Amino acid sequence: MRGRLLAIAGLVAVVASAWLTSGATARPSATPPLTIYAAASLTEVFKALDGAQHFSFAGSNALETQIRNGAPVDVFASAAPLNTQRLFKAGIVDKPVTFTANRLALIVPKSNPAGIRSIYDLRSKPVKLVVAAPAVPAGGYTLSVLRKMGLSSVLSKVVSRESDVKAVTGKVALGQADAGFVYVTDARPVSDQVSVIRIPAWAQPRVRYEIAVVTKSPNKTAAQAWVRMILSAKGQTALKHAGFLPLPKASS
Amino acid sequence: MTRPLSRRRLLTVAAGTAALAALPVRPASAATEEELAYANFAVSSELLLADLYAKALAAKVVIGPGQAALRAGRRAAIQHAGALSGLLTGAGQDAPAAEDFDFQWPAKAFHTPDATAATARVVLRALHGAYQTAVVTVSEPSYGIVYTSLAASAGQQLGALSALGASGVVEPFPVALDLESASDTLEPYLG
Amino acid sequence: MPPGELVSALQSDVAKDALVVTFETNLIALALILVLGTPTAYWAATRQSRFRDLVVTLIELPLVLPPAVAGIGLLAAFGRLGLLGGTLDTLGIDVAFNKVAVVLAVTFVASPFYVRTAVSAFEALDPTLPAAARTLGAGPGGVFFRVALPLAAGGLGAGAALAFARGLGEFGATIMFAGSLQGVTQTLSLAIYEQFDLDFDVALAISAVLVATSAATLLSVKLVTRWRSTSSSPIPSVASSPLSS
Repeated sequence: MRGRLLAIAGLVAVVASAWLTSGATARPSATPPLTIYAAASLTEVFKALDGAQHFSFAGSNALETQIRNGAPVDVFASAAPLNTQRLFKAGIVDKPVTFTANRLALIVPKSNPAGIRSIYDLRSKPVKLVVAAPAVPAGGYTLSVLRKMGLSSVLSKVVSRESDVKAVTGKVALGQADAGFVYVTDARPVSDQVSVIRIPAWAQPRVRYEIAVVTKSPNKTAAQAWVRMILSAKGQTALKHAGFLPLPKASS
Repeated sequence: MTRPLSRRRLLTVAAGTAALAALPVRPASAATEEELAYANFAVSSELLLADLYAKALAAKVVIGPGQAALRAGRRAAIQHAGALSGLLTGAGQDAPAAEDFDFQWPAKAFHTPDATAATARVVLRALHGAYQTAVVTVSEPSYGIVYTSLAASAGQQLGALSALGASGVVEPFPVALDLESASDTLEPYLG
Repeated sequence: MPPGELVSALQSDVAKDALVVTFETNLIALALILVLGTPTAYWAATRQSRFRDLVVTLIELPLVLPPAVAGIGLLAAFGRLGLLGGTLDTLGIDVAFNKVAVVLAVTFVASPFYVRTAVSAFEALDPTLPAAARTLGAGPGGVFFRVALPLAAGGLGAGAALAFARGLGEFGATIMFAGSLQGVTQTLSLAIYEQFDLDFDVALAISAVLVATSAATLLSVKLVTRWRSTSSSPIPSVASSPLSS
């Protein structure tokens, strides 16, 4: 009995030490993965660009609050300048840089239970509309679109205000909601479950994504290199393939 | 403008300019969101029109009086966009700039004077139609004056296209377009 | 945070709406749990059925499920494209983005807390008492209502309080299944999450209310259990209910 116990203990010790050291031997350069907080709409493209880092995707406002309250983060990528600029003013991140743009779209489930063919149908037909909460960038942009088109009255049809744009996408893709406002990039991964209704270019708000290195990051060099990668041809091509918009030439 | 300035003309110009100048300080409650939707559409479309004229001039296929017409049209479009931006910012909204757009023109849109005139006609008719509806939609008189003025200018530009060699077209009742139809017409170009 | 500010933060529309939504939905959910859970617990405690273990496992499943998974489960069952979606549609019952959805989510997540405790309470009953009642002529219903229920009441009350406290704090399943809309589906937990980066004072005030309610619930359980065990009942069964130690 004692011998068996010792054997089991030995086995556990071997397995444990192998597991603990596997991290060190698998990566000869031993750069620790960065912790990157990014807007929910960047989920697919960031993970495809660099799966080795630790990501947390959520509404940019929730991420801003977490970083402000001391979350150990290296890089913050926000879907609206407001969140990065606020942290910059508070001295929590280094100077943010605009790295991509996006556009909004209206999505409906493939079955289209409410029969929505254009944005103006939202006004005339009964519809369970889902949007992101106003503090979330996607929610703010949605309010801008509706205001520009003179369709703010449509907000009376909202049945839920979600905490990030992926939750909106999910509810429409599942058929729970009749329609939802998301980025054009969010419609792509679920293109077999939703139909996209274009929002005219003249109604689009100025959507700008900003990225910044957290000032107190312990991996600042690596973080700055990662940001440079996003701004480089490699990052910009990946963003373009995912449906993000190139930056207008005048701004940077 | 070589015609001598009559007193009546001076007063008309002054009144129009005064109406435009007074807009940015008008309180937002004077304009409903629907009225501003026309302004949002129009400012983008005037920027599109300015780009059209610029590309037509750059193509260098139109010469003589046609060139003067293009240049005058471009000046008008830019001023229209400016006035409409003022209207929007005065009501608390953001106004777009040309850099915010990626205008899409068909491959041979400006290859010949006829093609240029045809392209310009599409954009001008859409704008003109939208302005007509805007005039009867708005409740605030000074906005009505602006839209009427812009509609008239669009009509003049349509007429000026005959300087490009295309036959002049006079419609007895140019079609008024609602915002959705005008927007659909220009969507392929606005990008 | 000074009490004056706390009170004024609680008087904001967000807080008031969240309070109303939470208490409405949670009280209905509690009623559902009691009405459906008590007979189920009694059956599981007193019958020796093959299905007993299966039923108990199914009931306890939400306990080990992460709330997000519970949300997905609810969507898969009651969502428009879910198993029962079509049936609910034809019956004219709307379970999307309204209080019914919140009640369902809370019921699903909180019921195991009640049923588990209720099963223990019924199991701890001295079996001679219901037997004695039967020999005295009471039918099964009479045994249940006049012997088992009163004797197990302390344990049932404790379970109900636990379930209520758990239901109050439910977040993941609610936001996934019912969504979040102020005045309709936004419960106290959902309101805290939304207000956290908007108006921290309101979030703090709402949290204080939740903490106070949960503390009051647990305290009342302790007091009731102590009172029951020191009351004139000679049966030690109540004292052995899970929470009195």
